[in-house]
Amino acid sequence: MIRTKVVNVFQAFDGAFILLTESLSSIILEHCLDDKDTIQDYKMFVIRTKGIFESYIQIAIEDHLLGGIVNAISKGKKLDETERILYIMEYLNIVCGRALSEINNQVGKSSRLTVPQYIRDVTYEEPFLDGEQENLFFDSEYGKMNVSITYHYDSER
Amino acid sequence: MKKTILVIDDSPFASQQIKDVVEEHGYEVIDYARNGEEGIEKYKEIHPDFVILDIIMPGIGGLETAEILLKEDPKAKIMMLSSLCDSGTLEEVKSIGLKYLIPKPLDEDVLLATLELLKKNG
Repeated sequence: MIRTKVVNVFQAFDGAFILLTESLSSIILEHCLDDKDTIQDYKMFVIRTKGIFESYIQIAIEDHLLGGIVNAISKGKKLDETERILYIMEYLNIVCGRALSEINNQVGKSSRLTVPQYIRDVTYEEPFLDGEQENLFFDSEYGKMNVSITYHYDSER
Repeated sequence: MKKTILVIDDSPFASQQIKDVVEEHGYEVIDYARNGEEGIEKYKEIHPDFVILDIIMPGIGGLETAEILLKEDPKAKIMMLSSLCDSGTLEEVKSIGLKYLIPKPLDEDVLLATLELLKKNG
């Protein structure tokens, strides 16, 4: 039986984003008021998890914050736009992987992470989403980040 | 003679980090591959001493790539790398006959120590 009651999805992702962003880039993410409309000039990325913990994770990062993270992890290396996207996708892979590892350990069975996907059309909405949802709203000296996790447990797996 | 490494990871960030660490400690990254299929072809061409292989990649994943490499060369020395480091993922790595999984973000000491173990134990 899946111990879903002990799995705090919000905490797993919140902790991963805050701790790893600071350790990778020295940027402090702070919680801010949950207002999706204030985020501007952002890029959107999607990661999915598959297995017992099925989820769709959508991350919107303001361009200045994206640049701050990439600049830090690349140690100031000059990157073209394609490389910047690859670097931020690796950052998201690391952070979401950490969160999912915690969930996997609590659930007792491993779910997998997909390769992050860059969504050029920021109005895109994933169809047929079903499940519970957690939203994380962060602000920093560089800008905002919103993370939306829609998930359910597939107990057949 | 320096021990050679093939890095199979779709992330240029991870690949650069690995190169920066290992080449300061007597290893040489002789090539990179951005996905499993490319990694398998490069392994056959260059026969590196070690392979550092990411689990989550586009196309065939790292675990399937490792299985193919081990069929090709049962003595291949492979270290897996992943942002996923729960006990279940480690069991999956062991189930295909490998011993080492190191977490992302990379820790220099962990990477170097695991390379030493790979050198001694395979």
